[in-house]
Amino acid sequence: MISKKIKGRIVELKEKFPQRKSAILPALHLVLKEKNYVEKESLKEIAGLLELPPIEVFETASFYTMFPQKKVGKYHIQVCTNLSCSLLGAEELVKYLEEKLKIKVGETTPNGMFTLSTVECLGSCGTAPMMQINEDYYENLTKEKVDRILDDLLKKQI
Amino acid sequence: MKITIDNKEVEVDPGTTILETAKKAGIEIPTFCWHEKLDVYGGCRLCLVEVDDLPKLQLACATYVCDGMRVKTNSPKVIKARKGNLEFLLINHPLDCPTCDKAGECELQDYVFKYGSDKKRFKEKKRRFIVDRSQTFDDLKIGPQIIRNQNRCIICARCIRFIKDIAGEDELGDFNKGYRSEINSLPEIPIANQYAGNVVELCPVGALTSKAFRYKIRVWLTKKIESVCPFCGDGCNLFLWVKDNRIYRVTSRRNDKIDEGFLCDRGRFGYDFVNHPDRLKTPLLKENNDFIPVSWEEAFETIAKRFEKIKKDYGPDFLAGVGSPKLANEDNYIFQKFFRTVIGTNNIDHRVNIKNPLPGSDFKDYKNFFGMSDSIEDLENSDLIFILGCDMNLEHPIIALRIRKTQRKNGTFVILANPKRTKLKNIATYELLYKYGTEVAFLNGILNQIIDEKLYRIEENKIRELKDWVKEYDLDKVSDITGVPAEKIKTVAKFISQKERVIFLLGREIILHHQTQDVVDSVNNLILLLGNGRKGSLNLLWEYNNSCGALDIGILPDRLPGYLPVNDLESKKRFENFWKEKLSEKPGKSFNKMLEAILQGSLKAMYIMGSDPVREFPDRNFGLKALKKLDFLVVQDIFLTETAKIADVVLPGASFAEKDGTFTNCERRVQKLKRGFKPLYDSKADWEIICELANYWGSDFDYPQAKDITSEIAEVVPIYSGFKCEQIDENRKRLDLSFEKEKVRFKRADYKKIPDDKEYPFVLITGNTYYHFGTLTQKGENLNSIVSEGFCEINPEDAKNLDIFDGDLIKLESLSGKIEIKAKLKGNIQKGTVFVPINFEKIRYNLLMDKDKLVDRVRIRKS
Repeated sequence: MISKKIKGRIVELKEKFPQRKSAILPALHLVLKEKNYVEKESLKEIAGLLELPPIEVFETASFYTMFPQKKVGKYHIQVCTNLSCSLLGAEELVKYLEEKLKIKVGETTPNGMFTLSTVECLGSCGTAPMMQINEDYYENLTKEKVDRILDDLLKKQI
Repeated sequence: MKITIDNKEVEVDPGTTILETAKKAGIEIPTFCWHEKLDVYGGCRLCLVEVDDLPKLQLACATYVCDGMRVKTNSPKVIKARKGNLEFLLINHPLDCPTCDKAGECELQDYVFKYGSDKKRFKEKKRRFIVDRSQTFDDLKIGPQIIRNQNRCIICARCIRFIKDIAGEDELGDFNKGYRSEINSLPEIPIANQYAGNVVELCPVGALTSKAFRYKIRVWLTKKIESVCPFCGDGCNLFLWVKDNRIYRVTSRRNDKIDEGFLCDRGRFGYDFVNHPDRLKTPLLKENNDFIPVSWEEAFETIAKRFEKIKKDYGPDFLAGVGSPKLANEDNYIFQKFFRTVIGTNNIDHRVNIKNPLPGSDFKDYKNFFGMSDSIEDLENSDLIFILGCDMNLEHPIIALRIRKTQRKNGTFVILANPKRTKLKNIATYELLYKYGTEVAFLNGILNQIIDEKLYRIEENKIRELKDWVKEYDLDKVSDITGVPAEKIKTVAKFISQKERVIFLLGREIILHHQTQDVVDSVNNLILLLGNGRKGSLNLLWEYNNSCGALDIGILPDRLPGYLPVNDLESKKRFENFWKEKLSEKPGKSFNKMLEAILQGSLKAMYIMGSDPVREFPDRNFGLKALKKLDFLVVQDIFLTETAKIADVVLPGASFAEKDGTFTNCERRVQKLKRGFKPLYDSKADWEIICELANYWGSDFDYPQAKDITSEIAEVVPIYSGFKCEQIDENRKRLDLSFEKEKVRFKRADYKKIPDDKEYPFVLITGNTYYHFGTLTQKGENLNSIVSEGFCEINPEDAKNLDIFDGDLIKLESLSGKIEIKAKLKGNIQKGTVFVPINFEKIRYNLLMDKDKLVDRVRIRKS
């Protein structure tokens, strides 16, 4: 369920664009900010609020990797596996992360701390391989660097 | 502009793409996502070509030409790119051609065969979109008739673009992205719109297949027969794919003047009535209330003997013939010739579902009932399309597509005036919902408003009379009668008068109206009033595949073929000379009058061909009572219809797939259908039966083939003159009715008040449904798998007041009878109205109707 406050803001969005379709992305962002994922029910609600066919919202949300449809962990690790990153070892990194976190891509650690995803290009090919955790970029990754980043995050937690 | 393409010089207009130019020059450029009737997409990258002075290859489909451009479609660079793209597609496309329905007509198969590489460099496992791990094939049912196999999909998005852009629906989408892209519908909203079947035909590969056809036969084993759809008046062109006396599927035979290569699902999937096991197999004779199979000889003998006797005892006018708007021109022509020459009566009609059949006896008014004055294509050259009394998607789905197209491409405005909300609403500028039966008041209201505000361009002195006639229809009064808000009538009156080219489309609800003539006159008044330079035109959309043909060919009691009056001596003579028989000059009876005559004892025998009046006549009790009283009834049909059940002799006719002939569609285009296989069992083509009967009787009906009748029609029927059977398919012209054009003048039309009825508060509207048309489609399994039963549609508020829920079994009652039916709550139905479909044998909707009532009314009881 989307909160009343966000609902109000989504309805406001409707008037902002010449085509209501254009309000889908900002609406998705609003919902995502509030609860860190956008599940099916919310997608339907957004469609209702924007008076659009549900399929339009589902298509858009599924196109972008930043709108997970299931609840994600506190830290959402999104490793780029597009061309430049893959050439520089992103696939190795994903494997390493899977082993380290003992989860597969798309899963969340039992303590609800980390979710691991692979995503398409994040526009940071110059610093490949890279990943995004929540809103921050971590670049020029190596296994050691990944260890340190995750340790830091865990420490912050404590 | 001059463009050089593969060293060929081509002259084209600016705004042409390279692909179109190549087509013009006869050069093939392979494409997947491009489709002539869809918007340019540029997604498949197969049409890459080399353009001089440009560093990279260009998309032929999306690059516009400029003067002096030099294009190469076959350079080593292009060939390499094509090979590469096809190789990419085959990384994941499964090589399951041996079990794929598309094999043999797959564009990927063909292009790889022609342009592809013989080497494969990718060794990875193929990507799968697994639906069910226990299954070998990843088939997913995404609609009642549509099966998806995403592994085979090449994401050309033709299906999605068709559904979204052309059909205006939103059931199909493209999910995820890149490598994981998939076409899908939402599980709770399966793809089930009335045009869904088109995606199967549009799909270049085997990703979308239809449940009706898949795994039944390899396409190359079938024969492709050119035919025409036997359902609504649009007359879409079809291919029947047949083998061994069976239709395996129907696809579009693109005709840009009508269907533009799209079909509705009724036409696409409704063919399976043809091979239904219940088809009549031999002639049947009733003995002691049982039908016994007899030979044709015996059947003819009985008919001839009985008819002869009645003719001798009472006279030829004690016999009557009922033809059909669903049969071919050839069938109907022979039928009326038989009755007019062999029997010697003008008691002929085909309008069995109309209470107040028009054209009436007033000859001058005939011209208004000819049908459409514009062609379907003409709709694209209008500023405003005004739809009156027609649920276009139900009655003429392909015209509805054309209206969507012109709205989208040319910004044509659409106004809907209907007794219920229709699907075109989402593209309409205004929608007016009136109470059924009040159309004349509504139109007079608009007329009055235009006069009041001086919005007309016609001279003042010409409208004095009209002004007088309509002045009592002031906004408040009209609003009160029709239920349309006064403000809306005012706005629409103004809106219409601002447009230059207005096309009026009048549909089923007007044809079945108690005031058809008055509605048509009012629309004519409106067109005249707008006048002076503005071009308005009136179109009456006849319902059935050959309604226009049946009218043209003279299945009318007062008209010879070509609308020549039976009592006009010159016309009579013309046909007497052709047919070498004396003709009666006494106008015959319309179907309603025939029924009355039976009850009065002045009609004793009837021959009904291809119609089922028991099910269709808008007063079942009356119709049944009359028909049962006949001394002798012959019914010729393909099934044992309800009318056939009460007949004395039943003759098995042939379906549209089993005979040659012509249909005249609602815009009066004569189209040829070809025989796919010989008549099944011991049935015969309808015209053949009548000919044999006539010959048995001692006449000389010498027509070895249907085309001999077509030739005679072309020779004898004035408006069909010059039509050569062989040419019909080539010129595909509409019939020219200019000879009938007479100066139209203002005519008075007044609203006939419909009495209130507290006891029966709901107005009954009937019509077709999205998946069924007429009486035949319900026989087949294909469409029944989508929708197999009819519902009574009720406004949710009315339902709430009556404590009725969706799916409840309810009783509809009128003074004449009652039926049980399931309720469906639908917001598109106005309060105080119910809609009942006519397509289901179990729903005897005409039991509720009374032939003398202006508007049929019912009450609702919970069952």
